[in-house]
Amino acid sequence: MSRRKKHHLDDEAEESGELNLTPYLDIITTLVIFLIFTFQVVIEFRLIELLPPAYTGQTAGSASEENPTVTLTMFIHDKGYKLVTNQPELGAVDIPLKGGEYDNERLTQELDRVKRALGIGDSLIITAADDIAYSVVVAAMDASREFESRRLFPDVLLARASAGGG
Amino acid sequence: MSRDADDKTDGLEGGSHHDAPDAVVDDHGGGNAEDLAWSGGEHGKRKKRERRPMPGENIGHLNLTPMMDIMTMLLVFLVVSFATEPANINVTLDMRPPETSSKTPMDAATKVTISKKELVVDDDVVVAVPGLDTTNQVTIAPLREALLERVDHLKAIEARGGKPFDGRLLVVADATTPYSLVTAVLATAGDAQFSEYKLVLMSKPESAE
Repeated sequence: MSRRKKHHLDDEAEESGELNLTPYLDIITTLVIFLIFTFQVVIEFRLIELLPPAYTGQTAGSASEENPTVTLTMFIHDKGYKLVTNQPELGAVDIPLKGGEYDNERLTQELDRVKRALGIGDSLIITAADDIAYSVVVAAMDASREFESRRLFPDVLLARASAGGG
Repeated sequence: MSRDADDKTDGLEGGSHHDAPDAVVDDHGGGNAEDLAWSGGEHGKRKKRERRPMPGENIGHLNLTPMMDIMTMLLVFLVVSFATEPANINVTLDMRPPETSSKTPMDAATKVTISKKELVVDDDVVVAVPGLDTTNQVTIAPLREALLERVDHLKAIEARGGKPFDGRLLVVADATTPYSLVTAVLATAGDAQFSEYKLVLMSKPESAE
């Protein structure tokens, strides 16, 4: 295209009142590229709130709980879960691994049964062996939260396990 | 049908095997955008066609509106996502939190990140994780120092009329972190005046529940 014709087209664009969008596009493109590079994959994060560490076995039953004298503790070890209370006469429940994995379904059912049988409140102490992976503990917390829309133990305190964990 | 009959039919339909080549107009002679091509010659039908640019010729006007639309929407989406994210959490191969079915939404607070390689308070690396003995130690000294420094900073902000220090702490840990390390971090945080702990986890997809 001849120079004269190019000038002619430019003059035409100016005369017709068109905006020169090139600087705006430059800025937008740069911004979008920057944001895309610094943007992480969209992942939704959720929280699990823990009870403060000052929480002890003696305070496990809050005033609103039905049977504040009973404290339920869950031990997580490499062979499964173990549910115990602070009253030995009530016994313990062992939930062994199922197919090499933690049986969270049965854990939920047992927690529901224990809660209804003993009238325990919403608090649960979870403790695990030192080498248990964090994901296992989180899965146990998820399994303890509710069962068929019934609240189980949403208030969790993490405690350090004694040697052997159960 | 004879050849003559064919020709007549073509003529009635405006057919064009006798027509001039479509829309090829010699622009070198100084034609402009208003150039017209003649077609359907026999009946004199006049059609207005867009002039095709010659190879190497500058295109005078590109329609940038769709591109501008996309760019603007993308920009708004990215900026809003940035603005609504209460805490910036980088999920990497070394730090991938486990998934949870909890529905408690994300919150902003001081953040301790436990990856496979290091302990990080907000964005400051505090100590390397490999070789850290948490089996025999209840607290982690370098972490305690870093957290106390953070507490001092938050309390200084409070003293100047800013947000009051509430002792809230977010703990972001890799799924494979041993339990002893998680509890050691919590115990250390308790020692450094933090009293409210929240575990940050990835939301489990709805279909997986």
